[in-house]
Amino acid sequence: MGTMKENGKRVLAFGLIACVLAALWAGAAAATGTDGAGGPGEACILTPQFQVLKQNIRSPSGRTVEIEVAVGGRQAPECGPVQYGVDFTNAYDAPTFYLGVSGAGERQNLFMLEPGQVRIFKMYAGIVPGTAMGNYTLQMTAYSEADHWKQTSQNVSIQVEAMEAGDTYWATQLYVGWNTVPFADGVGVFGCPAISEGYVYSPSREDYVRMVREGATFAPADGAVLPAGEKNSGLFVFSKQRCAIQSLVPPEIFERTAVPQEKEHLLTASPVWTGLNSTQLAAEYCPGMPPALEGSPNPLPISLWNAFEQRWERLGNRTIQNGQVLRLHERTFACSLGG
Amino acid sequence: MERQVLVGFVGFLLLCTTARALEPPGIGQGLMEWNLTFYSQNKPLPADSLIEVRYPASGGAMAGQYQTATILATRENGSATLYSRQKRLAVRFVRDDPVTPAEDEAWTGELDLEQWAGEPIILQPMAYLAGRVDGADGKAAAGALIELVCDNGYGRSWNASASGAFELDGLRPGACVLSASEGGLVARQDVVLRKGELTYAILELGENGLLLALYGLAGLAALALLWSAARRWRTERTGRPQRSAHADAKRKSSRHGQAGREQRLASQRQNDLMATLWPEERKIMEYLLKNAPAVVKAAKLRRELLIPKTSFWRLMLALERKQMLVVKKDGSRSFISLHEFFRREG
Repeated sequence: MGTMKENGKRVLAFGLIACVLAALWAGAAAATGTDGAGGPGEACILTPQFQVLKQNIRSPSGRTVEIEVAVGGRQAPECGPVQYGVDFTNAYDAPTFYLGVSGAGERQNLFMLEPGQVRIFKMYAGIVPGTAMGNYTLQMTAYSEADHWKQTSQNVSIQVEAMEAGDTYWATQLYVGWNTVPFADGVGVFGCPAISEGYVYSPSREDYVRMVREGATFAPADGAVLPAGEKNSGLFVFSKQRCAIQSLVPPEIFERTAVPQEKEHLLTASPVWTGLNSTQLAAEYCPGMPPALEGSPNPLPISLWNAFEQRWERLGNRTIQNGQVLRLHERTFACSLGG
Repeated sequence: MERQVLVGFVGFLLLCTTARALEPPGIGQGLMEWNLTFYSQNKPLPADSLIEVRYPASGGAMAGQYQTATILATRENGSATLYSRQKRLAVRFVRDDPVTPAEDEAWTGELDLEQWAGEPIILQPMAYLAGRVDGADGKAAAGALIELVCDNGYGRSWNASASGAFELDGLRPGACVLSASEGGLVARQDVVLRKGELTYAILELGENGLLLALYGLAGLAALALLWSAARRWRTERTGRPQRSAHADAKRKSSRHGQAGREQRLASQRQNDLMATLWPEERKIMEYLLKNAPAVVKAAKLRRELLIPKTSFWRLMLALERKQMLVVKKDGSRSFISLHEFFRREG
């Protein structure tokens, strides 16, 4: 009998010790925030802090609006850095807009945040030219990458107004193959949604810079930055089908008065150049352009990409059209966009 | 199912190898323009066909490693323009029809701008083959010798990898025989390689079926020789050939057949018609009537009736004209049958 009692005590003591150890392990795991497999533990997978910095925006159609959001890590200090994400929610009026997040092409909309760290993101909403005037709602979401249900959203109200009278309209019909598209940094490019990347020629690098499409705008990939003189350029895109691209360009884009030309440059013709031939262009807007050689069939060093034929050809005596991408080559001179 | 998964996986890998960043048309100093024309199957490529331009990667063309640089889109008559700073180009042009799972056609070679005469670039169709070789025990047959022999004369041999797997690209489409051998065991499979498609084959090594068939034939031949020798020995012993009961029965049956064959008799009307013929012509008609409704070979008929060749054909023409018989040519042979008109009179 006494032996049985002693055995019962031992079992009880063993059970108590096991319970205490289990409780200690659970507490430690919760405190460190790991699940034993190296990933964040349940306690560290939390809905992030999220705030839209400006919730009411007004913009004419055809423009791209910038929406800034702040995302903060809410995990405990013991958890260390945890991965979060930010994106548009495909709800409300999202299909009406071209939506993009800065750096999303390189998956930069997924990021690590230290406990308490706050990061600001730029999100873009391109308003398709011709969108009916009215009030539209977009929803933005921040989430924990380990569990997408741990998410929070906020709405932004966009008041779409009539197209600005002073805006310049660029439209380009794309053919199968390579095409040049008028480009100015920050201007929305609408249409041909299958095209997700393009290339601008950088005279300073003497090479092409890859651009990724973030919603309606093209931005340099891999964190590259375009020099100020190359922000007005021309974009090469490859299209696998015939489609049309259009842009509405605010007048301030052409206020970048002097565009330095080094060696070769792709440049979109500004509206004030419309109807000029190369000699007139040189006289009025590009004073540094070398004079035409007498008797030369190609008076000035300007070429155009003929997308229908898939080849370069000289501008010759033809007049310049608004939104045409011109290749100004092998000389150094400056042109004014006439803004 | 396993095969489908593998085909999908390999197809995916092939697609992945082509997904690289592109270069737009050349710009800058020293640029040269190449006017190229692409053909496929003796016809210019249709407009808007896409051609990938690949240059040798760091390993060089010898290593067979090429990297996609740009894409050309063809225009009228398969024409396309390539911009390059080099006068000599080691290049690989690849056409990938989105309808098929793998690349369809390619051309690999060197272009020399100074000697380039603007000849068309004829893309060669490509097929893909992948699979594995299993040993008789079901394990991978590492290093097995594999041979591909195609009806179009194309052939290739190589060794399976350590895991028994193999993968080949740039093959010529066609019907082929794929075989593998390892340690005296063999496997054989018919495969059809199609343009732009990947064919997957699993070869299971076993005893050579052809050799087994040859051994069987040799055994049968030996038995026949033994039987023949025994028969000769008995003949020599008894002084007369031994007839088997079966042979006797056959002979009797044959005689009975000849005697019992119903002699086809001409009707009165047919006899009247034949009465108008020359004797030689009548002989021919009687022979045909005897064998009707069978068709008779012209050469046989001539030999049977001992008619000179020229006379024979003159008679044939005459009888054909009289609607007594019909001559049908089949290549170098001629067959003769009764004319429908004459037969109806029977």
